[in-house]
Amino acid sequence: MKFLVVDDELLIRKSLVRAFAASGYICDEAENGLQALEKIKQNNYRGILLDVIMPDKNGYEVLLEMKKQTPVFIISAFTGDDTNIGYIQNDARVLEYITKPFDDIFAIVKLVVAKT
Amino acid sequence: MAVDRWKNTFRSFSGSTHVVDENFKIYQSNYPHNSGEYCYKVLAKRDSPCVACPIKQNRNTNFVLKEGVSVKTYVSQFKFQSKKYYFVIYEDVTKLNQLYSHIIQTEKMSTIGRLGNHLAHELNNPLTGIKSYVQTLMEDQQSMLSLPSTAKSDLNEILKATIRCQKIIKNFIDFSQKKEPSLEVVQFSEVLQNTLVLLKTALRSHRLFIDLKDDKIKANAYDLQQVLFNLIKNSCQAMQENSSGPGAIKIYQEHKELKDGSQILFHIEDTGPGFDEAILKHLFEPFMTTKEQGEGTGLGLYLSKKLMNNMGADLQVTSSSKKGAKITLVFARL
Repeated sequence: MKFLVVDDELLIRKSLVRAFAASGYICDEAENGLQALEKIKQNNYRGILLDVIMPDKNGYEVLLEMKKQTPVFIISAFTGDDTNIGYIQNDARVLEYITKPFDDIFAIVKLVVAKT
Repeated sequence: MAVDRWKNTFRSFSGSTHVVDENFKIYQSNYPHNSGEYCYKVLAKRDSPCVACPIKQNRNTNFVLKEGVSVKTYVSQFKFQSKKYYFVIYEDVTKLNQLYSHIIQTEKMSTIGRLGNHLAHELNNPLTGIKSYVQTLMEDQQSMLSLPSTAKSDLNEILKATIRCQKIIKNFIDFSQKKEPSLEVVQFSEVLQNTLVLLKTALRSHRLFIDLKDDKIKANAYDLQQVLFNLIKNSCQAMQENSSGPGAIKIYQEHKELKDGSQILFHIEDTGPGFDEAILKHLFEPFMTTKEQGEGTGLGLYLSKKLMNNMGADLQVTSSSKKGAKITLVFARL
């Protein structure tokens, strides 16, 4: 089963996809919340890596609107003054909160694979 | 009676009020000993009329009376026994002007801070991408095989550089974010190291000697970092003015036993020109600065002391001479 990487920042998205590919896993990509919701509807993913601040529906909205129970990994530059953090904490599908900048991208791949 | 009443009214005025004739001679003043003197002599300490003399212009104006003193003047002309006189009120606006420029300065700084914070967050994204790409490339055996043998160490250099950039950005964000002062147990030498990263440029022309053990103290790391930043920056600037070769900053610790517990002191000693006797008394007051206008806000030491006090610690000047100053951070020993 594939993973879905959702991030509006091309470099981050591509580097995640490449790191997963290098470890033998295939990913789909979405560059905003709208695209993500469309892909989630059409496919069954093993896990979703989800950025928070994005145009055309942000990460929170994706969480609110997606019906499936796919495990989600939030990837975000958490700044401490995030008022929507409650959504995430109360959503059982969110397994991990990964902060940007990443220390080691392969550690993220390992973590996501191990938890799904 | 009537004359006395007017005289008293005139003299009770707290500002400087004069009646001056056309030749700048003071005819009457609410400071009686000024009468008969030339206004430029007693007020501006000059030998000739001021360049921007408000009397010559016969209008209300702001001007610098003498070094460090700005005044606002109100001038009105009148004739008495066919001679021209000027009634002049001087209001000292030095403090007001200083306050005004400090407010502007503080506002400017906070704007720069916000911009910098935004910039730091924006830079983090592409930087994370670069770093992740390099990591992916280095892990990919196939790609590595098709690259020249030097590629791996080159990539490693890129990786190290991105890590360094991220560290600088992280330090900046940590530094610029105002956190609620909560106390934690921190290692002084570690906080110092984090601060020194921000001071690399300032320290470039000076020597730094650090003699510290791994002692831990109760402090707020961000506030302590701010204090250290202010103090070391001050030292660097002071030694710059002294410019007789590179200066030296020594940072070392000392234990002190008191009746009600023991203290740990961290000294910061420099080879700058020290503090003037007159300044020493006002060192920790707000808006106290010896720097050129625009260079310092005069808030550094004041805020530092406040931050230290908020942490239950203290900041003291322990010695000052022409050969250097020593400032001490006083903490309770854990």
